[in-house]
Amino acid sequence: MTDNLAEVIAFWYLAFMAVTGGVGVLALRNPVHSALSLVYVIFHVAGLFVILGAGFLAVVQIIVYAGAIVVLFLFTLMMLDMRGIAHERFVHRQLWFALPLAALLAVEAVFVGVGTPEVREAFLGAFPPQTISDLGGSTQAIAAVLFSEYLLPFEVASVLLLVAAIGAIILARRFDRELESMPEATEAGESGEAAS
Amino acid sequence: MDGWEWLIVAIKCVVILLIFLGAPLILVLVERWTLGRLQSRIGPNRVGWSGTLQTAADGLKLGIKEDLIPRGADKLVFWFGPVFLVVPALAAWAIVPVGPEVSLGRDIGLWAVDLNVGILFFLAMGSLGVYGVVMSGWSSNSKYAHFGALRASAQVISYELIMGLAVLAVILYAGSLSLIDIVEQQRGLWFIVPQFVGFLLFVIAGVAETNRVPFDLPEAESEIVAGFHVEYSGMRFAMFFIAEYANIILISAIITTLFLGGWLGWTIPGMEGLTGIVWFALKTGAFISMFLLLRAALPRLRYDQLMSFCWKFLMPIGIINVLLAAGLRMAWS
Repeated sequence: MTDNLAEVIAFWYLAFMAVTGGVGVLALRNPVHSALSLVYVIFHVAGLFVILGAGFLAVVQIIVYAGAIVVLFLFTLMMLDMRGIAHERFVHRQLWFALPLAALLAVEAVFVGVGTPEVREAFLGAFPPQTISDLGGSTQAIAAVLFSEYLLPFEVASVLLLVAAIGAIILARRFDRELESMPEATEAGESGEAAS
Repeated sequence: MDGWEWLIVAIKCVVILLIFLGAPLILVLVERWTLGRLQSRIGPNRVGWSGTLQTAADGLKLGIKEDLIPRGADKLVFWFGPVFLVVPALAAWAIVPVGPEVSLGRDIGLWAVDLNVGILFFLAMGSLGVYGVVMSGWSSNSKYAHFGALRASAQVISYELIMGLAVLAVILYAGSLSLIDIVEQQRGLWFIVPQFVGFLLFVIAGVAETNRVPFDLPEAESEIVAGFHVEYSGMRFAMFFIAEYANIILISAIITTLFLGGWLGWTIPGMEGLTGIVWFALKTGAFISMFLLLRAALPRLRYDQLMSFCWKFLMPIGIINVLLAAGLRMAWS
């Protein structure tokens, strides 16, 4: 990694803005503002990927998180009546649960940053710029490990997501006992749902 | 980078900005003329020669109108809504190659940047456009705007997938994510031939992404007045128009690049740059005309038809198409 000044400035700017956005997600009282603040965080984290030379990760970060997941958050939030929720503070309930977890995460980050050379090697040295350019770019480098070394975890993760999606669909469907006992009524209910 | 390279990048940015702001002005006028002719009425013919200055006059009118903010609106989000619609549409132009590399003293590519993840960047910017719609619709504090925003977010997320599947098949053929490489790969055969299904999927998804007829549910004027931008006025209203027409041009340019060989075509030796731009403009223009004619020809779909068409019809076709493309690619190499 070249330690030139522009990169250092870009890093601190992006990191500061990402953390600011993260504070915004928690501190803003209106859930829609929180979600938009989350988009802000995602953009700056994508910027951090760009200065690391991982263009593919940066773009995928925006497509998946900003383009799909947070849009779904907003979609759900727009269905809710937020006049009551908007005046309630978001932080207070989970504070005592979240603080130890955040502290643990901070310790972990410091451990990786200043830890033993072996730890640093394991976390940071697996893909030096030379290896990535030998493989033909960051996209190819990700594909090379994702579809060989990490194929099984990757597939397990996608099956888990599929199971979660099916579970959500089943929970969302109304299984009233009366409807189940009457086949015609179930069909009517289904077509009614499709039309809504 | 030396001084000259910075200057070249700056000139490219200015040219893109001028096209971005100028082309919608012309396109609005052409669309109104076309629709007028197709609907057996006259269309704009008063301001300037045959109505040529109509859009400029409309722009001036919108510019000096009051910028109204509805009561109960979320002001900050309301202000930034249209910006979030315009900026991704403009940013995506950075990766569109309008011509080959030309040498004017030094080698200059007729594109702003050659990203090695170019086509993914386009998809990312396309998926960001929905924020402008959702932000404007939600913050307006109006039920029509709210419905428009809900419809738009569901529609864009769904058709984004179809677009992604169509692009995936092209990437399998080209073996690269860079738009310049994708165009160069089409020297022998344009991708519309092996990927005709992908081409159709991409065009349908493109029409849905730009919220144009027959997929203009988010702004269906007969049901929800004008959807997400019903509460906007003045220059902010004009920004919605600029974004819509800029997106039409952008989608047409991407269709040209992915499926019709971009700037490729018969050239005069020594003038590859110029003929490249002409070919690119002609092909893109053909698709822009298609967008305009669709609006005159087709009725609007019903909302449930729109969604089931996407998930139950286009989605399986897209997946089968990607599998076939992958299989053919394996057999071929």
